Amino acid sequence: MAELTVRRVIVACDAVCDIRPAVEEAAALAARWHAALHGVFLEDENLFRLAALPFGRQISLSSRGASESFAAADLEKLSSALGGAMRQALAEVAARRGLTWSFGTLRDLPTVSAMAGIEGDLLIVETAARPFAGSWRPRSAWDQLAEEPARPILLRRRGSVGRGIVLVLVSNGTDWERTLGAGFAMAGGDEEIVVLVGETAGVGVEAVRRSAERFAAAWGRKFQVESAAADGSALLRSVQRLDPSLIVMDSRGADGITMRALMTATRCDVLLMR
Amino acid sequence: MQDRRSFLRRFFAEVLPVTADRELFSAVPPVSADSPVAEKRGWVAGEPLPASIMRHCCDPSQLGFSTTDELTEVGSLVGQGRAVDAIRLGIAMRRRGFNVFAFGPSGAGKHTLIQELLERQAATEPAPPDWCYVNNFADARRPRCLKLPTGRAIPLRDAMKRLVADLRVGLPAAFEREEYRARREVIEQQFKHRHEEAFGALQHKAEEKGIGLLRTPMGLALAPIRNGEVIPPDVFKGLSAEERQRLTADIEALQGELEAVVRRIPDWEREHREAVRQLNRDTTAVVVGHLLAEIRTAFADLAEVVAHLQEVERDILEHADDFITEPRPAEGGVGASAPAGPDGDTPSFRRYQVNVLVDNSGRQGAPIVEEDNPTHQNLVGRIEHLARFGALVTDFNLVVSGALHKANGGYLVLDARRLLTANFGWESLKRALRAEEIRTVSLEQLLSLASTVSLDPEPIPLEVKVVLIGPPMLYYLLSELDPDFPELFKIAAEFDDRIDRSAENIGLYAQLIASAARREKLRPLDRTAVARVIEEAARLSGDAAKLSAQIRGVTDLLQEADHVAAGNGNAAIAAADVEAAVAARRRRSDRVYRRLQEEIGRNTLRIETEGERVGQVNGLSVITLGRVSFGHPSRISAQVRLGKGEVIDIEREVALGGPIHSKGVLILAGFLGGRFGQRGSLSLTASLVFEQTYGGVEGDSASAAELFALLSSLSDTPIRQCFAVTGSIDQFGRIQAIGGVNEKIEGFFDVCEARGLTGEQGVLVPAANVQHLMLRQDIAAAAAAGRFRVIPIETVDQGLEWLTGMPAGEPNLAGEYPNGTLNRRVASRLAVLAKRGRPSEANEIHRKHAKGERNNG
Repeated sequence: MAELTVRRVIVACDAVCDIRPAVEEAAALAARWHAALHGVFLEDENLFRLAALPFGRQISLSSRGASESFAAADLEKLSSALGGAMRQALAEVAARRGLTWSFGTLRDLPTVSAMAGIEGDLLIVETAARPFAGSWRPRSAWDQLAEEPARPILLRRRGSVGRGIVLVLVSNGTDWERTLGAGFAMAGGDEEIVVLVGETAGVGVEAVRRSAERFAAAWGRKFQVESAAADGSALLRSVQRLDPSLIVMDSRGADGITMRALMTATRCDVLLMR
Repeated sequence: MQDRRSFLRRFFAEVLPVTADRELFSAVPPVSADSPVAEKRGWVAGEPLPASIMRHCCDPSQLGFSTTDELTEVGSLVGQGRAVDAIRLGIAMRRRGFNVFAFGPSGAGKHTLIQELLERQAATEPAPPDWCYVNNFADARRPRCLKLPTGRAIPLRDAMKRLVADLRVGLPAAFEREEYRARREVIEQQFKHRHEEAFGALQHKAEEKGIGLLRTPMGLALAPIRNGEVIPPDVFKGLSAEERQRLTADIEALQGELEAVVRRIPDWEREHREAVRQLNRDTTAVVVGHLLAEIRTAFADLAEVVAHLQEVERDILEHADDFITEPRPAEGGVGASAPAGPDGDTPSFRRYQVNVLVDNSGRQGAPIVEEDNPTHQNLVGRIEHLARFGALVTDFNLVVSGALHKANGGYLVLDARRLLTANFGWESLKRALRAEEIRTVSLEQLLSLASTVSLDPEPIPLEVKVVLIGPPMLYYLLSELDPDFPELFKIAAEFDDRIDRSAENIGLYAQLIASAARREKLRPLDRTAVARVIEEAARLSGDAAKLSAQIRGVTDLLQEADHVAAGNGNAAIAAADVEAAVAARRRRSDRVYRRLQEEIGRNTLRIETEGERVGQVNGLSVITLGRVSFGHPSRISAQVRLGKGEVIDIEREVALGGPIHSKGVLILAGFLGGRFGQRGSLSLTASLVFEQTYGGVEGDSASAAELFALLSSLSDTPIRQCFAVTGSIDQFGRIQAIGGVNEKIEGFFDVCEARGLTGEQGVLVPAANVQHLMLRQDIAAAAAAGRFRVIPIETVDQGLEWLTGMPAGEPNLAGEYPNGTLNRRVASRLAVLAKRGRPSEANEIHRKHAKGERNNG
């Protein structure tokens, strides 16, 4: 049986993330896997460029819709403060859980992305930026990573506490069982795991079921496996009917639904992708 | 000062029975031995009393029953007609201020009688309404009171409790329903769509111009984009001027549009909130309306309740979230300061509860409430607090009723002494009676000692009849010193401490004894015992013609006699048991008395009971220690010398004499002047003293004895020491009644008996006191055997004749007394003194005296 070996859990945040919950959740997983905890604070290069432009201004709700200056010096200070806050959060959480921890600040997104490719590392990022005015959420830097299903990245749904649905995207490769194992490790708390298997080209429902049996035995968990139709709307109906704790589907997504739409509709807590 | 004097005058006029006796005495004309009156009453002033007069026995054969088992019950109304009439009037008068103050001696059965009368009256009246406090949704600090028909408060409280419980289940269920979720989703989607439409359109428009919408830590910003990234500043500088200008202009234009969109966000959010609230309200209304319908139907006849339910419904619709999410305190409402209740109800739900202040369900008739500790809080109720997160908080559910609430519509019985000494009880009661409403306010608020926010419950209309019970002194003090008192307590019910010993009353008294014996579960009394108790009741009243109305004392005696009877194995209490109980009671408390008697026996205290002495007479005083009074003989002596006509009261000189005693001595001087000073001034100085007394002397009952000692000294005539004297005098030489006559006689009798009764010994008492005689049986027996005498006297002269054995003497028309009379001796001695007092005479006398001395020498 393939096993998920995680040596280091990397949690990456930027200035529009909720830092403390992200760190808490990453620490919980690190503790579960006996892994080290590493924090990365990403200083968004685009914002620094904007601040350097002559028309760099921002509009906030607190300014009642009036634009205000967006100076590089202010951004530097803010980034420094938020980075410090993340470092502090890491230190506190790691001390409480007895974890080894480290921290770094980066301004380069590709460097952060590259961390996901390191063997034994699991990168956790928030799926979306903090919404503006309660609901509208512009694209964030992390969206770019989510659309690159090449490395194991854990996309954390904003505001979750790690107890919702785990969506596992699989593809016909040798590591899909490791990914499924990680999903088992995270899903469903102590309750019975309901596994909903969607269209998984090249893997097949039966293969997933067999792996699930092994993982369930290994983790001492009860489970049941249900299969869903290939198209997106049918998959959503099955999710609503079965209320699964683990969804397994092809990394290419389902027909008629994007991965992001699926995340929103199913209110997934965690998306683990391979 | 004038007020104080008038009060004291009235007090003494109305309270002190001695005064009444004196008035009675003044109205009694002298009676001669052969007059029909003397024959009828069986005694003559100036002659020894027959033994039968000394103790007015109760003849058991006249009682007409064997034991008290044969007697029917009688209430506590015996002999208290005046008080009963007053109380009946007071409780029947339904007008403001007609409250009752019942006063009289303790143990007179005031409580029992009032309870009986109130119970009779209350039984004929309807049970009063119930009272509740409910939340005031407009101002939670001022809880509203609800008046409900009798027995409707508890059902309302239970119904509201059920309502909350049902809502806690029903509302979340309603909000879980698919229908609600769908409608909520529509609202959320509309809201979201509106955002996305506005921002999306702007973003799309910006992207077409190569401009991106970025999320900054604080808000949104617009920036030129190339290949998905913001153009670096150096690249931007490298752009052509037209391109830079175009980008700048586009960004400025888009920024304006973005500002417009952002400015609309608060409105959208408000609309969203309102839409959600309306949805919640609609969803809640269906559930609440259904659940409230049942309560509305049950209380449809009560407009106030219906109005309250309307407010409850409105509030629930406003705070539906409390039922579907974790309850939180409501802003500014009860929940904001309210504690979690003892029953675990969370603050936000407590505001729908009903605090039943007074529940009269199941009550027959009007309530009668007796408050034993009438403090401010126990009368008007209190506002309790609960600790919550280190702070003390309260709400209308913590308003607790007081005695006034419970008695509202009925009767409240209070002990006046406790009321006046209780913490602000009297002031609070007056305030409530004056305003005719009960305002529950904490003492700190009342005294303005607390500045914290507290409750100010709506006052409850008050309709109560208050009956205060207390001693007479309190009634008079309040009447005099508290101007509110006469306005609020217009009915004075005065209990007598004694009732007439008429044949009818004796029968009723026997029934009263029977009732007390039954009530206290005692053995029945045979008629001899009842007769003996009646005699003791007369003795307790201090008057042979009266019976004590202090039922408690009589009941105590019955219990003690029952104990003796039990020890004797008697099935019924007999006269001997009562006698033994009386003797035991006396013995228990006579330590001081016996000690004084012992000291007299040993001549440490010098009292002579035989022989004759000039200027010395046995006086009698009464010593009261706690509840025990006993008579004590004292030697009174007088010395006369040349002087200016003054009588010196040595007790007064050393501040041991009270004002009444001093008054007696001055009256004595007045008598001397009146009888012997008509022809010239009295040139004497006399001094009077109670020998061997070391405490204060008060009262005028020794004024007759003092006069006798003085006249003896003046006339140089010895007084027979086998007599003791008690009685006060007036300026005309008439003997007036005194108090404690029985104790005084007994005190002297015991001294004589210890030394041996000779038959000569006796006590001179005011004739007016004969009616009060209720002496011990052994004294009556000694008198019957001719071994002791009690001699009633009406005048000083009667007393002088007995004490000196000389005729007193009547003056002739010239005002001269015959030779051989005591008054002649007094007049002669005064004349000598007067002569010596004149300066020329004095010199002559002095000269003769000096010559004589020389001759003798």
